[in-house]
Amino acid sequence: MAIAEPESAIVSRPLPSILHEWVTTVDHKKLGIMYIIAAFIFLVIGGIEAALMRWQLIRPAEEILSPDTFNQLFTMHGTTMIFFVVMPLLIGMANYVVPLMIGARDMAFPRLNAFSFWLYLFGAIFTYYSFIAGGAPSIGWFAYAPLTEKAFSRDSSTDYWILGLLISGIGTVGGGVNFIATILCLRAPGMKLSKVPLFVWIILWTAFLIVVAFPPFTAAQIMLLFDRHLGSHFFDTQSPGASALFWQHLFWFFGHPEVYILALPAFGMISEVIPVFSRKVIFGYESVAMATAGIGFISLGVWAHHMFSVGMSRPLDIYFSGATFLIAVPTGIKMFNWLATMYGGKIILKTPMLFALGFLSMFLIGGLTGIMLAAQPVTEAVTDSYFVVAHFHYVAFGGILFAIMAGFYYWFPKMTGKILNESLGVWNFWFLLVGFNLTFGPMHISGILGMPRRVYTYHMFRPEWEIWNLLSTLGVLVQAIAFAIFFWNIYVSLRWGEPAGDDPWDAWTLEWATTSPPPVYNFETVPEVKSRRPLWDLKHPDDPDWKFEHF
Amino acid sequence: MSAEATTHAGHASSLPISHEKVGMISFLVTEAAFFTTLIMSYLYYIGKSKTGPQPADVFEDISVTIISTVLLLSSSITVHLADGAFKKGKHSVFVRFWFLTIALGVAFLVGTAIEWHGLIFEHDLTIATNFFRHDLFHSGRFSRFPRDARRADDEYSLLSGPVATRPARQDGKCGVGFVVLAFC
Amino acid sequence: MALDSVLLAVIDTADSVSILDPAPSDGGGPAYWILNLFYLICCVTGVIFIVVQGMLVYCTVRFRKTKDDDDSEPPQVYGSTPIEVAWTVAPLLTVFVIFLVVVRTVVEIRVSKPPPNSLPVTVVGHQWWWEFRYPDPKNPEVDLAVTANELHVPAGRPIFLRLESVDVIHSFWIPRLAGKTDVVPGHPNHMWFRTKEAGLFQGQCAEYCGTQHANMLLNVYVDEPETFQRWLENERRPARDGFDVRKGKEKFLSLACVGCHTVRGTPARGLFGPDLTHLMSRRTLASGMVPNDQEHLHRWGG
Repeated sequence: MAIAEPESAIVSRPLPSILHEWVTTVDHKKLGIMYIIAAFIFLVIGGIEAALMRWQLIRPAEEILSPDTFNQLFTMHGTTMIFFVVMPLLIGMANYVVPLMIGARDMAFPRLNAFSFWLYLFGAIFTYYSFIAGGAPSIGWFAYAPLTEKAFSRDSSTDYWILGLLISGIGTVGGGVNFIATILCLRAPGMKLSKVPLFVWIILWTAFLIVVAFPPFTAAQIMLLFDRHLGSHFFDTQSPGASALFWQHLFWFFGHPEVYILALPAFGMISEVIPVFSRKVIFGYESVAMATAGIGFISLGVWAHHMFSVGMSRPLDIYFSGATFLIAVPTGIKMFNWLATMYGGKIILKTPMLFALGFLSMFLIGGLTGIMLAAQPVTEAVTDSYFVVAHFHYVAFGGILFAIMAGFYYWFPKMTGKILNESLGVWNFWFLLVGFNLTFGPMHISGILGMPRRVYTYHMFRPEWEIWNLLSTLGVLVQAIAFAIFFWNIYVSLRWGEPAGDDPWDAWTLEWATTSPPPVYNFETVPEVKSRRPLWDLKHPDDPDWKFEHF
Repeated sequence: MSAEATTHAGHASSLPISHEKVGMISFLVTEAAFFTTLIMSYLYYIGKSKTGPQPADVFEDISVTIISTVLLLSSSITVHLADGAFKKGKHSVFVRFWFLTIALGVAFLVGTAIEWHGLIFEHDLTIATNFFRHDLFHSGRFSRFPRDARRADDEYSLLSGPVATRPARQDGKCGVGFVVLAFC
Repeated sequence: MALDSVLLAVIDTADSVSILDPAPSDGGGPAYWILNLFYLICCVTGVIFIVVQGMLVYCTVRFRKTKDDDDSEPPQVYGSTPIEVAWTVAPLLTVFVIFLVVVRTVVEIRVSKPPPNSLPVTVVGHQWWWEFRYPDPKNPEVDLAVTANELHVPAGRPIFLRLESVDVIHSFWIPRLAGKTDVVPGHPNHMWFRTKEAGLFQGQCAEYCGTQHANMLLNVYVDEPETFQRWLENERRPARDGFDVRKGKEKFLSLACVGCHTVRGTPARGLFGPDLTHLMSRRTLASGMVPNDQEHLHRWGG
């Protein structure tokens, strides 16, 4: 646990005292590390769930899992990966890095920060307790009513899902409030809002989305809970006037911004890693910043593109189609800005940059299939098929998780004082890239060939699906090796890794101005900030950034 | 970069308001989002109920409702006055207005209890009865739903007052939020 | 219900359930128009993919730091307004053009009124089987025939489906005929398709609907118009009665079967399960899972 501690402290202190310190801490760095550790544990659990599902689908009519088990697994896999893995990884890394990047001592509300973390952890454990309490929820991660109503899901598994996510959701909202206050109020002298690192700016917008989009989800969950236990009929279509589609509207009003709550911080990490490893300033800081704001706003108005097959009115279908196309524009702008940053640079292909390149390449594919799915008629054909599964894994895994890996390799030296082993990192990258594409590439094809998602089995009379499913399952093995290398790398590097020094990547943002790991108080003296790259100004006094920045 | 308020880390903040206030405003945004969702639900389901009773059937006499609304809105004014007095150091004035606020809040709760007693025991109207019903109760559980004017007023008075001194009122969720934020 | 893979091969199977293989029809149909749009967007996104991926590879290879490089930093370029405006406007125009095509396709496919000369059929989704009702054209309140899991329609005519659910959300999906439309309780939906070719078109429920979602298969038999008329006439008749079926009838009526199933012409009036009046005219049992032969019928019936 105590990876941020100086070595001597670990040896000299008894375990209970160390544990006590971590459990009671309000330090943003320790909390960030705890978020990351917890998320990694859930990543392994969610990965095992996925592997079991792929095993079941390796060939037709396989009988390894019962239908109910399979349905529980995909529900928990989706829920886990979104709420208990990717979001806490992003929040955890932001927790660690944002105060350092803006030269603050800690988050604005350290106790609220700790409270948020523990709510997340308890919410996650609570949801998982359902496995012990008689079975996990089997309702899918978007829990469409009326399947979630008492009439169709009689046991308490659905209640565990509702309450677990409600608890961890309140924690997330606390995190959002905290990030807004921290970023708006605790910046170092001279760091105007137009001079914050792009990661910080993007976290600010993410926090805005959290604050706006999570409470509606909480409200919807409470309505569902009332339906199940107090006999109300919001979504219980067995009584006249109730509406199954209203749940979908409420859920996706949260669920689509949620996609950007996950994607935006990933964009932020990429916007930090690519400039440093291309040795160039980000191309078009202002347009990346504006594109972020654009995505933030547009993402609140596209939710019903998840509902293109439910039979909305024609004008609504057309509106949501158009709005969804629109969101491709700011996303494209970012893509071009990252490429232009690389253009003319001196690109250093270390592991963080490899993962960033992997992100660009995979996210491009996920983004382009997203354009296909923005077309309502095309969605009618391929939604709820494996094509959609492929699409959102190219976004969430090939995109977001690759970016998280880039960020993790990039900031790990700051968090621990050790650099992750480079050759293991390269192996990790290539295994993950190959395994990922082997798993999810074929799903595009099985979807187009008519295979629906969320089926625990498929039949002998669909031989054309077999080969693609077999490939997908084999890809899981390669991915498992990749993650084994990754965790082995963390272990090896923590034990025997080379010391990082304060600034191993010769980077430009404030977190690299303090020691690795930073002291509890973060900075002895905060350098005065005059530009977006304060350390560049220090390293190149003859050619400082602030001469070229207009805002 | 006009007002340079110093924060706990000793850094100059670039906003003229403290991080406590920014946190509180953000928190209120979450509350607004929460209640907007409930209001949207109300609008969505309005008129969908095929069985009675309808609002007109049970709200024949709305005097209790009006009175408790007036009490509730007044409490926003008194808490604002209490806050002002607190800032000026007029302790006794603060205590007077503060207790007045609490009294108004209690009176409102009593009014609500009377109203709900009537709905539940005289009209036999509970959350499970019909649409109009459960939406009303549902929203009423967190705020007095039909009177959304209160929200705006409430938020105004919240912004103007320091977080820690504002008494948590009938709004349970708000109360929890206060405790959490005050704790930090 | 253990699956016996050898016997499964007996079931009629369509060669394809691919969206790339729309059913042939005069004047097109939903699946055909969707595929055209799909190909169009594939072309556009394909070009974007090649260009951007090419730029990515080019930048990575061309600007990679080599051993010969000194440690000096490359020139810092902060941005360029004309270039950034260009790559904002270009995607905007691209998606706008696609959007216009999308609007046209949506208007073509999504009709609220039945197409002229169409055959109306009501589809009712159940956990986990399909009910098909053929309303009388003269009096839509009355059904001419009710059957389950195997939808028979005539070739050459548009088919207009009304989709209802009695329990949870399902989705009606025959990839070669049309896109999917969800079957939502309390929210009746409509869809239509047509094909000029007789044959079997398959699909399955496409919205997760509980334990046996994976086995909620759909068979659409498109018959020649005369064959369809004969089939419909047969379906309209109540169950055959007579000496030869008396034993079976007595057995059926004496068991709990009647609580859930209907057999028209008998006192069995259950509504929970599929109508069994002309069960033996169907080719499969259990939502298309097993062939309808004596052995499987015996095992399914227990």
